[in-house]
Amino acid sequence: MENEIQKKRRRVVKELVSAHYSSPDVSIESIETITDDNQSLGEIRPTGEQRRYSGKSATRTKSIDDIIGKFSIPPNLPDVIDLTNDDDGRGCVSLWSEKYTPRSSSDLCINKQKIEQVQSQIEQMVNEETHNRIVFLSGSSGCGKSTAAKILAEEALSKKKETAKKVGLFDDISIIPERDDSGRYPNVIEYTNRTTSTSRLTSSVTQFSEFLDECKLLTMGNEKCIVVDELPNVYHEGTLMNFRKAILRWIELDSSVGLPPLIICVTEFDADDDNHWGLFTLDATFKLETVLGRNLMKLEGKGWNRVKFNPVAKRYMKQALRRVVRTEHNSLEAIPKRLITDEIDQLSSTGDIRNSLITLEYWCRFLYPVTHDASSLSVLGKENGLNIFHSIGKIIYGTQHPQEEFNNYLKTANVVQFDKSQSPPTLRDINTISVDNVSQDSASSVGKLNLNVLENYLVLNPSKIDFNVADLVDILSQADTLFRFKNDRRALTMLTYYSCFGARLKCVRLKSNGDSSGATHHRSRYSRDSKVGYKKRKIVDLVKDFELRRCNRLVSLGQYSHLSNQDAILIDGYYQNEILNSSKARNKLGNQYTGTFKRLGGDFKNIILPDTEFQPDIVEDDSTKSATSLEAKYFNVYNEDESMVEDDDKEFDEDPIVDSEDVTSQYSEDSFSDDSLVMKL
Amino acid sequence: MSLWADKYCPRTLDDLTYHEEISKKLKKLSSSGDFPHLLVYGPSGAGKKTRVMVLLRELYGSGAEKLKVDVKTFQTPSGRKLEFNVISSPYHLEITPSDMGNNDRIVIQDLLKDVGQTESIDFAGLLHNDDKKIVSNNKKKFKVVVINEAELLSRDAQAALRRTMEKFSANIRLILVCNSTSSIIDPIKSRTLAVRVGLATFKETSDVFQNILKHEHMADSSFPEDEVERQASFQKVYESAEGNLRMGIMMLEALYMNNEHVTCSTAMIRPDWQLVIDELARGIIKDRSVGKLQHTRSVLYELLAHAIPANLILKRLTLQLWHDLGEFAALKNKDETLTKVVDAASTFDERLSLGSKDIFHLEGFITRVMVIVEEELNGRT
Repeated sequence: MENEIQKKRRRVVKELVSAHYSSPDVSIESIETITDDNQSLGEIRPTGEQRRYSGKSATRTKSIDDIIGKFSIPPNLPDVIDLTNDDDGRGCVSLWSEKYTPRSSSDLCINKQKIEQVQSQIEQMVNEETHNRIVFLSGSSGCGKSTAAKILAEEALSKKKETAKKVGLFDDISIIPERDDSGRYPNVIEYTNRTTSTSRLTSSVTQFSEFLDECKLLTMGNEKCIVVDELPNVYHEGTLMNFRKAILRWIELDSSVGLPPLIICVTEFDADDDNHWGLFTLDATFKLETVLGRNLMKLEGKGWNRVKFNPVAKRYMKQALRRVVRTEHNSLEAIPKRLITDEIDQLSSTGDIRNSLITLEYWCRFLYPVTHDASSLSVLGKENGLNIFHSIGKIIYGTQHPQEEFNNYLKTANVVQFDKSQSPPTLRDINTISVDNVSQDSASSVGKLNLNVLENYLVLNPSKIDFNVADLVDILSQADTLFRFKNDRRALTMLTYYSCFGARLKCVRLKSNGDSSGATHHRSRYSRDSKVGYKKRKIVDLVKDFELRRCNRLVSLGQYSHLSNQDAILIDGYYQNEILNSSKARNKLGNQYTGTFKRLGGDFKNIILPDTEFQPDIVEDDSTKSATSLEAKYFNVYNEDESMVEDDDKEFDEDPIVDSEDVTSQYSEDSFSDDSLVMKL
Repeated sequence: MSLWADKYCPRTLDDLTYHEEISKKLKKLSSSGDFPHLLVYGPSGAGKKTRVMVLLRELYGSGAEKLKVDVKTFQTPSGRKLEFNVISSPYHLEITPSDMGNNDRIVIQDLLKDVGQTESIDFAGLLHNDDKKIVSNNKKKFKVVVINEAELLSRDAQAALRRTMEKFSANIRLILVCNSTSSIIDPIKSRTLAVRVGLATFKETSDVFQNILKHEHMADSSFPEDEVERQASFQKVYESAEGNLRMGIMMLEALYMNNEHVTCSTAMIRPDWQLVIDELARGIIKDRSVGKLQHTRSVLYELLAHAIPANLILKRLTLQLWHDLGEFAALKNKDETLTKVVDAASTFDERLSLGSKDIFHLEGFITRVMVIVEEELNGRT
């Protein structure tokens, strides 16, 4: 029986390789790479049996038979790994955060609805009920994306196989044992970014696309699910382009080809400091939008879907931590229950379950046994990371959790109370403390913070504009003038503190004067500044194009004189179009065109509104192109009338600027439209 | 066809219709065959660039009009490629520092070094017989470098320029063109001959308009035949353009193109950005509420996105407020209020030049004005 399956599989793989994969550089050997990837999963979780197994297969596979061998009957694996055993007898003490990785979807500490959402997405893909081929899971670090992805994919697949077995279809598949070759998630293939890979065949740039290409081959039908937990080095431009292209190819592959479900986890974070502010680029914010780029974002829902994960809620976090503590009760007997509960309470607000577990473990196993002091935990652990909206909220509304704020303050200010005789700092002025926390947290992005405060302070809804409002804006304005000293670390800290503190005090005043009855709950809005900056850069590019056109035109007529950028915007940009739009100009052109010319950079009507969400960028309209050629036409028509046709007239007709227009935008670097690149399987 | 403003731009010194004094001086300069570095300054739309181009033509003959546009690429020390346009004739070249961003010092140094180390040999003059006489008589060995918008030169670049001016003075003459000399460093001012070109008066502007209409027969008939009425309509254009000749001519053409007949009662076509700012000023005085403040922020952002300089917005806003508050009947202490507004404007104007994000200061100014007006009307609360 087993032989038959092997033969069958061998045939399939051989056929595939010979028939569809004619490119010489990707051969059977690269299939090895992927099986190696499989192995590396086993190595990540070195529980006993697996370890031995992976050791055995460490010798490089040489032939197809070996590869196929791996897909058949695995060595016996324990079905359930003993949870309570701390030291599993091989000197391998796994960390709690790894040891207590959830085993099933019921263990996940994620909102039930979120789980269902992900579940339905994956199941749709597994059962081929959707055109979408990729699910992106995005969220901050430690919120359970990767774990959820693997578990849910695993469950969806085994469920399918279960039904398939019952129905009696795919009988050869159903024979394959549930626990397959690579440990915990047998139906999941995981991508590993091995930048240190010594393989001759894989360059780190094209590694990801090669991985996906191999996946297309290896996983016939939907018997496996691919989870990409780790992105290739997208900070390298070539790698990023390759990554995007691979994704696009995956999505645009002929719909008759059944591809395995692909789940990609993207850990989102802001690396936003003032060096990059105002730019919506990968350097500044690591988000799905920046990773994928504009062209791919357009395909949302038409090829891929997205599920956003939130930081782990306090409730779920508490449950998870308690569960761990219960299982570990043997080793924790020495610690009073009450203290543990306190610690769990404190830790559960971080939103990052991985970090909380690491901290808890460290405290329980190493710190408490030495110091026997509960408060020592407070100097550990991730500080409550403030995202920008939290910071704004704390400045505008003030904090709602004074005690937490206080603990955070103690942590950041390094006040450790080992000596009981000292009186601890007290919770006197919560404003001072929360402002201090905010300014500690956002010293590197104070400019951005202030812009957002400016965008949002009016939610306090003061009954009228009095001197408090004026003073608040005045403080922000003064802080901005100090901003040129930002390279001096100390000055920056001071500037941050004073601007935050000043703003907070004024907000307190405003709130007390405010018309609280009419105050509606506004969502915080993201400052428009970056959008405005982007638009401005585009308009400046337009102005440059405008000047170049004008320059070429007038030089050929011998009428050139320089026009400054400012005059182009203030005078010519408006009047030229006013003249071209006139009925007289239309008559002369013979009513060839119907549209109207917009002032340089568009009319003043498109008021940019602030958003509650990040938008990738503003959609470009094509009207500029046609207007440009019409402008050339207008001026050309009259060249001929006055018989002043210059010899480079032809060239002008084609208007080289129109073609180069796309190059100017920094966002249009990805040229996916190249059909030749789309791999035809 | 080109726009009137370009088409009727004077080509020779004799075509220049106003600032006789300057024309005379320039004539003297050009006939002497040599001249010092020049610093031409004055408000925009006064005719600085026109005079510089005319001077070049006077010096080199029509050879100075054989312009070509080159795209130069320059590699910055950080490895970034920089592209910008250089417009040049065999005798001169023109550069605009704003194209170069923060690298203007290196670019200008390199460019001037190139020009300065090359003795110019007059091939073009040999080819064109008509020019030959003038050129060979004057034996002009130097090339002219025109720097447009010189006020945008960074301090670095200006300091570099100062060295170059002396080092290559045998081969290079600089003409700096700028709106105001306030950001030009003293060493450069001391090494140049300053020529101020002021705005044209109404009489001069109206002569220019008249001259254009004389050539545009179609347009001539759309304007009133009666001399007094015609002058009255010119007067309106002149006032709306605030003396800026370029804007005036553009407005004249726009008026002609959009109307069958232009009389002194025809609605002026004023630039959209001015209308937006004027509306903003009216709104601030009338409606001093939270909602209005939100709205003004949107408008300010929109203006800034269109690359309209913040200090220009502040200036126009202040002038418009001055005008509107002057007519605001409910105000008791007009003089005091106006003083406060101007005081606020000057404070925030300084902050604009110190700070990095314009929106803080513009909004700061607007809230301050709202508070001033509010207190003036209802007393301090």
